[in-house]
Parts: sequence; C-alpha cells; structure tokens
Amino acid sequence: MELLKKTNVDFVGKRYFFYGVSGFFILLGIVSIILRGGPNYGIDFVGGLLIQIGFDKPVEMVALRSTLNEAGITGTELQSSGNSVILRVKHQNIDSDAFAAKVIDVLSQKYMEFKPVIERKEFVGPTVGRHLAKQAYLAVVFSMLGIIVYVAFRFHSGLWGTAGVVALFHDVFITFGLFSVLNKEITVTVVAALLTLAGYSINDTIVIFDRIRDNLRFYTKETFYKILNDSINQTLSRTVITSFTVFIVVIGLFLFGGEVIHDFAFALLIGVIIGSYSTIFIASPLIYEWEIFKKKRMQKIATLKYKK
Amino acid sequence: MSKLQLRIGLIVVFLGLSFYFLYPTYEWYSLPQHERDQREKLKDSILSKILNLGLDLRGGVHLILELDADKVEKGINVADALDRAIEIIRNRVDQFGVSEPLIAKQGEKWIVVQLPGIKDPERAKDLIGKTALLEFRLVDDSTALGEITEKLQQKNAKMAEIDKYPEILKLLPKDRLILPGKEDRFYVVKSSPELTGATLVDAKVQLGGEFGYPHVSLTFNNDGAKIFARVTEAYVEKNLAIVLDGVVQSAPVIRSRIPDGKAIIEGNFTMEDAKLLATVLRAGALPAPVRIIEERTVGPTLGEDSIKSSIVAGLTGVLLVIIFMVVYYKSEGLIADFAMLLNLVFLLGVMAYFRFTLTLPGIAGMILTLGMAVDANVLILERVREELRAGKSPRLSIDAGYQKAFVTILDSNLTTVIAAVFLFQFGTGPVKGFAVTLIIGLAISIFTAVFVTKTIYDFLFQEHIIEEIKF
Repeated sequence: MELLKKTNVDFVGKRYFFYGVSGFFILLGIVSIILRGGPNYGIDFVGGLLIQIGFDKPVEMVALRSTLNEAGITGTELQSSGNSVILRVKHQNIDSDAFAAKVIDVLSQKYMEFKPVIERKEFVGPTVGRHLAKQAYLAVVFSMLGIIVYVAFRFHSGLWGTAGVVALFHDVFITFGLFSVLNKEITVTVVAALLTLAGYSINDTIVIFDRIRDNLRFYTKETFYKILNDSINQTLSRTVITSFTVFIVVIGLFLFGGEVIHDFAFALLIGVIIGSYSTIFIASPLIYEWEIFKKKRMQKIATLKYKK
Repeated sequence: MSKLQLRIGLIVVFLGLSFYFLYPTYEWYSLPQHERDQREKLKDSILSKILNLGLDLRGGVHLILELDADKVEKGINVADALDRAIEIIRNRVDQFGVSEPLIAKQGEKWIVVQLPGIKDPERAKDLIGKTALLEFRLVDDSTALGEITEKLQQKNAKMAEIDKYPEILKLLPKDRLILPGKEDRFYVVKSSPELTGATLVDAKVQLGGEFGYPHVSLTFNNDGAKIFARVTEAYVEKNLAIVLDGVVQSAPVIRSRIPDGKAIIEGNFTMEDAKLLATVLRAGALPAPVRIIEERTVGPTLGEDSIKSSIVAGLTGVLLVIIFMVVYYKSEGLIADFAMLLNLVFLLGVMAYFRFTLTLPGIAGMILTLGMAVDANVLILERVREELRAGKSPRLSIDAGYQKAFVTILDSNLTTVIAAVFLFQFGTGPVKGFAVTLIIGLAISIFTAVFVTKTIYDFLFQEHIIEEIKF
C-alpha cells in the first residue's frame, strides 16, 4: 500500500503563504502571552500549592466552589477532572498542611457521602520554585546549544544548521504559545515535553536536508528551486508516515493517559504535527531564501568588481 | 557458527535475559495484595529485583527539607549539621519501617526525603520534621506567672501576645522563660535546661499510669543518670518540666531522688503519637529545625489509576501502530511490529536489571520510544521502496535501504538523546525518570529497529522463505 504516490507539489513556490500561517500562530502566541500578563507557569516555577481531591462520584463544580467560598477558602483555581477536583493556589507561601487540612475538613462535612480523599498534594516553596525554574532554564539552554552544535557539525554549514534550528524554535514557540492560548500551565513535565519535541522536530529536518544535499550532488544541472521541491516531494511520504506513527502513540497517551500527563501528551501531540509542518513548509524554504540572498550578493559583488 | 547465527544467538540471549530480569516483577505482581504488604514489611529480597516504580506510580511522599542554618549551634558548621541531620532522619525512617527510602543531601542546606508507599503522609512528615529537642527544665515557683497573667488580662491580651508588651515582659525574673504547654497553659521555667536528650539511650512506649494511657519511658546513660539524680535530689517537691521542641509536655512534681536515670513523659498521647515520639527521641534530636520547602504526595489510589491509565494509553497507541504497519507494509510491517515488541521487552528488562526508576512520564517516554522505533523502520522501508523502484533486486534493496537509512536513524535519535541528557542533568524526580527511559529506549530502538529486523531479513532471504518484497 502506498498512501502518497509520487507527488509533485511546488512547496517552495507557496512559501509566502506558509510564512504567513506560521507568522499568524507565532503572533497569536505572543498576543496571548501579553494579554495574559506572561506565560501561565505552574506551581513548580512560581511556588504554591496543588491539592487533588478524589470523590467516589462526580461533584457539581459550581456547588463545590460556593462551598469553598463560604468557608472562606478563596483565591484558588479549581479544575475538575473525572471524579476529582484540583485546587491550585499560586504565588503564595502558605502553610500547606493547614490549608489542605481545612479544605478536606470543609469538603468532608459537605460531601460526606462522596468520600473525599486527598489523592495528590504538591507544595512548592518560593525558593524551590526559583531553583526549579533555574534548572529548567539551564536544561533548555544547554539542550538547545547541544542540538545547534550537533546540527552545525552534521551539515558542515552554520547556515543549514541555523535554518534547522529556526524551524525548531518555531515549533517549540508555537507549542508554547498554544499553551498560553488554551490557558494551560507550563510545568516541569511540560518543559520536558517541549525539549523532547525539540529533539524530535529537528530530525525530520535533517532527513530532508540530507536529501537536498544528495540531490545537489547528483543533479548539478537542475535549478536549486527544483531540487528543493523534488527533495521535499521524495521524502514527503516518509515525513508524513513517521510523524503519523509517533502521532498515534501520542494520541493514545493524550486520550487515555490520565490527568497527570495530559498536558505533557498535548505538548508532544502539537509538537509532532508542527514539527512535520515546519520541516516541509518552513525549514527548506528558509534555505532557499538564503541561497537567493547569497546569489544576489554575489551578483552585486560581481557587478561592483565589473564597475571597477 | 556463521555470522548470521551469531546475530540470532545474540538476540535470543538478550531476550532470555530480559525475561529472566522481568520474572521477579511478574512473580511479585501475581501475589495477592496482603501477601505483598507482608513481604514488604519483612523487606523480602525479591523487592530488590522488581521494577522500581517512582513515587508518582506507587504513591508516597517526596519532601525537600531546609535546615535552618541560623539555628545551628555556634561552632558547628552547617555542612556538618546537615550530615548529622540526614543521619538522624535516616535513623528515624529506618525505625519507622519504610521500605526503600531515599534520604540525600541536595545543595548546601537541603535534604531530599522520599518515602515510597507511605499510607499516612502526615504522620511521616511529623516523624521527619520534628526537631525532637528534649529538655528538662525547672519550673519557676515564684508569683511571676500569676502577675504576668493578671497584667495581660487587664489589657485583654493573651499570653501568646506577650512580646507586644515589653513592660509586662519585664516582670519575668532574670534567667527565666515562658513556654507554652501542650494544653492551653503556660509555664515559667529556668532558661538553662538541667538536662537534655543528648544523654538519652532509650525511649519506649509503655501503657500505664492512672488511666492506662500510653506514655513514653526514657532511659539515660550513666552521665545523664548522675545529673538526673543530682537534680531530683536538689529540687524535691518542685516541678520539673519535660520540654519537647519548646513545648512543655508535662511538668510532674519531683517526689524523691531518681537514681537510675529513668523518667516518663506523660500527656494524653494516642498510641501512634507515643510511638512516633519514642522513635524520634531514640533517633536523637536534629541539630537545627528543618522546614518543608517542597512536598509532593501521591495517594496510592492515584498511583494505581496512573498505572492503569498509562497501560491503556500505551496499549491503544501500540495496537494502532501495529495495525497501521501491517495494513501499510504487510509482512514487512509485521517484522517492524515484532521488533517494536522486542524493544518493549528489552527496555523493561534493562529497567528492571539496573533498577532504574519507572515514573509516569517515564512510561510516556517508553511509549514515545516505541513510536520512534517504528519510525526508524518506516525510514528503512521507505528507502527500500525507493531502491526497488530504482530497479534493484529485493535483497540488494534491503541492504541499501538499511545502509542509507542508518545515518538518518542515528541522527534522529541522537538529537533527541541530546535533549534527554540535559533533562536528566537538570531534571528532578519524574522528569529524570522520563529522561532515563527515553535515553535507554532510543538506544534499544536502534538495536531492535535496525539490527534485529535486518537479521530477520537476512535469515528469511538465506532460508529462501521470502524472495521478493511487496508493499
């Protein structure tokens, strides 16, 4: 069976359209982050308390919220997930034990027949939050550096490497931005997912770049434009299918993996899609832009020399 | 033996080893729950052979404690105090009976404590967080307490607010302290303790007294007993306050000289409270108070739910991939599927053998590597397809496909490994678990997706089981 027979799409010709699409998503992320007053960092980074309370049957959220408000427990973010409810208090260095005790006390009285229990509790003090933020920052910086160095080494060309890395940043940033648009939290595990997708996203790009380089070697008479398009078309079936196999395992995680890793799976899911997209529509056209730029400059230099 | 036989042998050996390493885990989880609980208490040796599940999967408590460096006794440096604190906490945890706890230093004044499978996290926190500084102080029998209480009452203030009224605080005689009691009362005591817990050799729970309540009986060593005898002799008929972490537990009257270094702490304890107190006293006092600055508690039910949901998620994804590969690549897809399952077995085997911790994101990482392992086979097969199209024979197409795709596979895995290595370096807990599984999973996937499948093809061609390749 073959999903995509020999295709012949002019990807490079449509590049401005896709620059537009990417630009739109990047802008969307930026606007969302600005409107929300910064990324929505989880308690891992800003400190605070998370309590997940499990009931043995679903609880009406509106009633639960007012129960908590009446008991003077305010300023918490509430989120329902199946039979449990997650409470978050951020940016505060509260007495976590006392707070958790109070919450469970209030809920035990009002929802006795629902048998509330604390299923999960996460408390992160401000110093630990700063520490985790620093660790995440270092992990991001070093892995990005590592990937850049590797890619530059692999292509013997800072330029192709840069195009790959731009596509990678593009993927990570759009995913990051979508987290803000959907008001999902950036937690330590989400950062891990973002880094994983960074590592994963670059490999599609490497495959196409390899193919472009091979083709450049063999078809010396063809235009660069055609070689780029041919390379993308030749690897298209592969790009789509490899992403698809990863996509279906990740969608399993996303749908059935449970609350704790839902956002983690979401980041990977988005990442896999955008990773393939950017490989085809962004990374390769970027090389084209550069080659054109180089050619024009060469011509300019040539004409300058000629004038002399 | 031919090269091919050697390769097949190698794969069979790895498979055998993996099953061998995984057998204890299988054995363990086929035991009924109560039997497992019992063996856990006995610290059965099988526990050191089964898959090591992270706190997020088996439930438990993860804590980071910060040592209050300002309160470390002068002359002792903070690093020494931290080591001592770790030793004492380990002692307490051991006596409490937690299987496979982790207690380690992190940074300059942090201590990481992980207690897997703890059913009662609050009690565990009490156990670890109590300074357990035990002091015996003489109770001041002057009228100072009465006067202070009276003055405060005039101002409608409570004893706890005394620091706000320096003029009343002046009524307190020199070298005296006000300490709160366990019940709602206060004591004025001498500011220098007569005796501390430093000379304690044993603390036990006993039932007794008037109402048969549990109490904690203390035994001092020779030096302690001498001091205790001297104090009790000198202050007969006076009250001696037993102070734990700055709270007066009880203040019995000294009836007569106590020569044998034995004392009792009373005070409405439940059995659990008394046991905990005896445990922390036996283990010794922390050199300075500690504060919980990070806590992650996962209840056992949530952990179980997480395991279940990740198995469902994993199976769904893996099944979908298996079906897709067979539909798309027919028997070649089946070979890739076989390699993927082999990958899963090897990965679990390695995890079990090296006792790497499997966390929830780790399981996700595992599922991800399975997807990426198939990814490698797709690369190869697509390459083979191109070679076939170029008119090469099936056998040569396979060889060329593997050869050309290999660099790409290596590339794609290496970039992910780079990210994973730094995640491991800077990540904590579950994220570290994710990084470990990802790295091992990718390494194994290169082995299964390339080496194993190639061996299968070589075998099939050699035995003339297949002559051509059709997708």
